[in-house]
Amino acid sequence: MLLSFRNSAQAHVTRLPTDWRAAAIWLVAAGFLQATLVHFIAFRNAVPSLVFLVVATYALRSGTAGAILLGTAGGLIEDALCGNTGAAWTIATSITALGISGAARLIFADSPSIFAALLVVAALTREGLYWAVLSLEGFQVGLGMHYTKIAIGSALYTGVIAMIVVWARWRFITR
Amino acid sequence: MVSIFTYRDERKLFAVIGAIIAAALVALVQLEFARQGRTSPLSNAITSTYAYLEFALSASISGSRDAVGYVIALPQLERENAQLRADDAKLRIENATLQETLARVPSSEAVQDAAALYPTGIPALVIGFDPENKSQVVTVNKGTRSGVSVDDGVVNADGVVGRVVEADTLSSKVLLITDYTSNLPAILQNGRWWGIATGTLTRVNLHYVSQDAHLHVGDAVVTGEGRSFHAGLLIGRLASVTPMPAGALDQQAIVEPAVAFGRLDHVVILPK
Repeated sequence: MLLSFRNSAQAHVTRLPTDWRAAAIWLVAAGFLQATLVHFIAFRNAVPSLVFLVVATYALRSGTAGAILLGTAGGLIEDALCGNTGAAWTIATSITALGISGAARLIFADSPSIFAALLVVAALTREGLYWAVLSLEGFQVGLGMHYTKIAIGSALYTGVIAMIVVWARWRFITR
Repeated sequence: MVSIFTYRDERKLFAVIGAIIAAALVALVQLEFARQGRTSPLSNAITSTYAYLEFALSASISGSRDAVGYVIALPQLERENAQLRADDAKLRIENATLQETLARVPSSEAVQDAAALYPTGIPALVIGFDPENKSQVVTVNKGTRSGVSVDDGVVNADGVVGRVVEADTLSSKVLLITDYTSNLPAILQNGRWWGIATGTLTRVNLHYVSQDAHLHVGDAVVTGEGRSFHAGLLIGRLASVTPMPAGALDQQAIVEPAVAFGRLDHVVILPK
């Protein structure tokens, strides 16, 4: 946090901007892990979304523009690695990142549990948007119903991973 | 008191609008190329970059897995090796070299079997998976540069794997036959009855089979002549026959795929 004491305005607190270069590196690394190793820790076909974890973490701390741009980049990586999804992940992830950025003004995600809960809700929203866009792209309507359990499982799995990451960061880095 | 006018909020608004325009532009490019059935330059660039990384990691994992599998499968040889290590240090080094060589045999055999079955095919290695596991799609390390194109069939020594749905420069995406959106013309080998094989995530559902057909568990199901495959390639065997209500016009059955998708590594792409 940084205190501002400008003469022309009342003293107020502003947040330091999140380093977008670090976020971009984390995003590329998450995309790589997502397409290679995460497949091996699937539980009943549900996998955690490391890409979305990075996007959500950044979106919570950055402004609206940054959230949209990183969300777009994250979704684009997933669309490229997945194939035949068009822009479904791009649209779903950027809109969800925008929502998270807005939610950050209402909710203080200052504990692992609140952060994880927010992430689970956001991940489910993103899944819904993804299937909605896919159906608009010409995939059969209702295809997402087959994946409801997997979508819930993936969202919860992502939430658990988020709690572990936040706790590990607090335990080994921040403390 | 004089209030000071600032452009700070306007700048923030422009940044948000700019970000929205950039995101919409990317989405439109992706959608336009998807509508045309082509790979967008953005996707191609990302996929090509990741292909190198994925190939390196996949090769490492494949080698490690073969080595571990060999040790687990041959405990007797492991015990003998331990005895030999105690007897002769020189022999121990030679034996370690031999183990590494033997560990590579299963993968090499699988490739040779598939290559012998399909001499015109393009051997490829599975290097990546669907990031979100929402579709049964794998990435292989051969692309348009190697002669791969969209709708090429993909097989391995056991049977049909899937078909190419996206061909990039250095890699391709293969839709497995177990995906919900995969539909293949299929024939019951015993009786030559036609049907459509659709994925169910873990297995394949054979439907639209004539009521006159006699379905038996264990019957082989092969491909019919189609866009991606020639007739006669093994899809799998009937695992169960789904009871149909009276008056139904067709029959359904569940097919256990011949290919073990859980440990899919080497495949052969069949150019059209």
